[in-house]
Amino acid sequence: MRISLPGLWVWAARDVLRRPAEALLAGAAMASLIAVLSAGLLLARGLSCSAETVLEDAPSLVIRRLSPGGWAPVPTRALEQLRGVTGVTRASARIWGVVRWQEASVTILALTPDDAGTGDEQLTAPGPGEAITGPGSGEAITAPGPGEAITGPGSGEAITAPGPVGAITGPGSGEAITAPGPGEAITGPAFALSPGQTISLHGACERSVRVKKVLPASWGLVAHDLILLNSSDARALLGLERDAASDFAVWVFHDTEMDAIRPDLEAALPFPVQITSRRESLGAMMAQLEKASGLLTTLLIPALLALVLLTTAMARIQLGSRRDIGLLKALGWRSGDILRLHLSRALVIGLPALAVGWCLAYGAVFLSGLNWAGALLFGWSGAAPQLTLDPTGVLRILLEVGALVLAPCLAAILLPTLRSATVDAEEWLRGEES
Amino acid sequence: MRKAEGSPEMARWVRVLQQLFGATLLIFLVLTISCAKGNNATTHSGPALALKSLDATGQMQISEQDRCPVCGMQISQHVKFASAIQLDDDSSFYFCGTGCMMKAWLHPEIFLDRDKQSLRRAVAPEYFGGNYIDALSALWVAGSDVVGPMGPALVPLQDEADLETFKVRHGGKITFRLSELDDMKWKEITGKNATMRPGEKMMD
Repeated sequence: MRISLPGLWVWAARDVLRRPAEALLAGAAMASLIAVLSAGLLLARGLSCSAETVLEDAPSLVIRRLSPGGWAPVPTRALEQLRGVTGVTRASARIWGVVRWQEASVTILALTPDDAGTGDEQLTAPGPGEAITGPGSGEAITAPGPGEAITGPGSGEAITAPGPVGAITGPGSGEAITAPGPGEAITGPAFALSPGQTISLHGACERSVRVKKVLPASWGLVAHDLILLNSSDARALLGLERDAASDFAVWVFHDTEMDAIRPDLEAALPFPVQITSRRESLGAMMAQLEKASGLLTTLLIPALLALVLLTTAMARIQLGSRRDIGLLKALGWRSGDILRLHLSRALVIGLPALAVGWCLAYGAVFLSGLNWAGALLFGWSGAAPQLTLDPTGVLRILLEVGALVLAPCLAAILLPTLRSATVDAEEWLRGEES
Repeated sequence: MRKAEGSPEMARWVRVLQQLFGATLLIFLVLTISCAKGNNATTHSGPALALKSLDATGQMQISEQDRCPVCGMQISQHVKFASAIQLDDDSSFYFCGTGCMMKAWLHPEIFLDRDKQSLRRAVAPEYFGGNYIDALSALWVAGSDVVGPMGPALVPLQDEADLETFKVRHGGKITFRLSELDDMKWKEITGKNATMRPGEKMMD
């Protein structure tokens, strides 16, 4: 007698339903394991992927002026001296900083293109592939546009994205956003504001600006919690003079120049500076991510222990079903049929558990806003940024975790079954082998 | 009793395993033959021209399909060192780096399957700015700490001022122009024969 495959699946499903509580528990345990393992790995992957995207087109070097009290504004006229250094392919001055809004610190960035008038002629908003670093060594990272971004100081907290001078384009979307005029603001999705609302920002002075547009969530890490302003508003809030900017962004053609050009840049400027390269920024951000990811691995230890327990329990159950196998053989089932039946039974529980586990992990990392992980691991406040999704990486993680959990479980079911299924039915029924 | 029931079953499993083994072997053979054919195509079917030639301003128009005719590397992976040789018929060969371009320039009959008279010009990205410049007018530096796709790079510079800056930042043992390059000079610069393909060992 050979049992058809659909017949086997129906039999397997009915067999599972004979002990629904047991099947539900096994399925829930597998789904939880898969969800916990996948979520941890997906989070680490998503963050590192987003960080790389944010930084890949960032300026080669960011130059900040040092003063005895910390960092100081840079005079925009010094741009000409930077542009005269051999190897500098592009240099721009940027206006950005931190102000208060509703008792919280927010990062503002001037997006206005070259303002007419003295002092501002050389000032440009960060362009495509530009970035802004925050104060302190390697603390903050940067700004891509159509692939631009800016990260906030210290935390690895992602901030925002300006685009080509005078306009910003969303990552992937190709949607161009024009620069805000005086009294206008473009806000990141973290603020939960809507166009038309007025916000009052406190810095060197108080200034109310009207929200012109809210950047879509798809801007994710690139434009999460940044407020884009007109340069006149940004200057007023940051207390910058008309011929001053927050820092300089410099581009070089070859990455090897990022280190080699530093002495010449320092010598070209008449004031002490701190120069941070893109490589250092990326390293600082990755170190922070790795530290946070290290915490995630502590979750894996109990999860792996649970996997061992689950596998052992399944193997035990399987060993206990020898009488059932003997009965089926007496009815004419072949060893192959029995093996397929148990495989089907395992998959009837395992596949839905796998799907549920994957969905839970994906939802937790990419749809929940990531608040739990951001607050726990990175100290983010408010809504978390949307992470970049790398389909290849995500698929690989999901398949790896699926295999990691399913393979031992299937082995725990199939190996005892294989051993039991090759014995003689009559002996089983007589109980000689039990 | 067990053997009587188990033997035909076992025999069936053995047959299944045999079939699986046979199928695996067949797939392996097919894949091996395909790979061997693919390698032959790369090595012996002659160098491929760039999909899009240099434009009117001498800029390279690199496509994903472009491969270095000397070493086979994908040009789009090494755009910062990518160089080109344009032929009299306006078509171009693109190279992963300046070293490969120079070898082809010295021995086009070996690496490009063309004679030297058919070469119109060579361009390379000037080191500091990335602008494509005529390789014959460039100042070349060897023996610096700059590394290209194939190892220590031959660096093209625009003028003497750039050369001075470059030497301060990266060193450099030998300075030359492309017009001065011959087999002897190549051997002095790289320690290898100019006719050797990457990976080949010297026979002397």
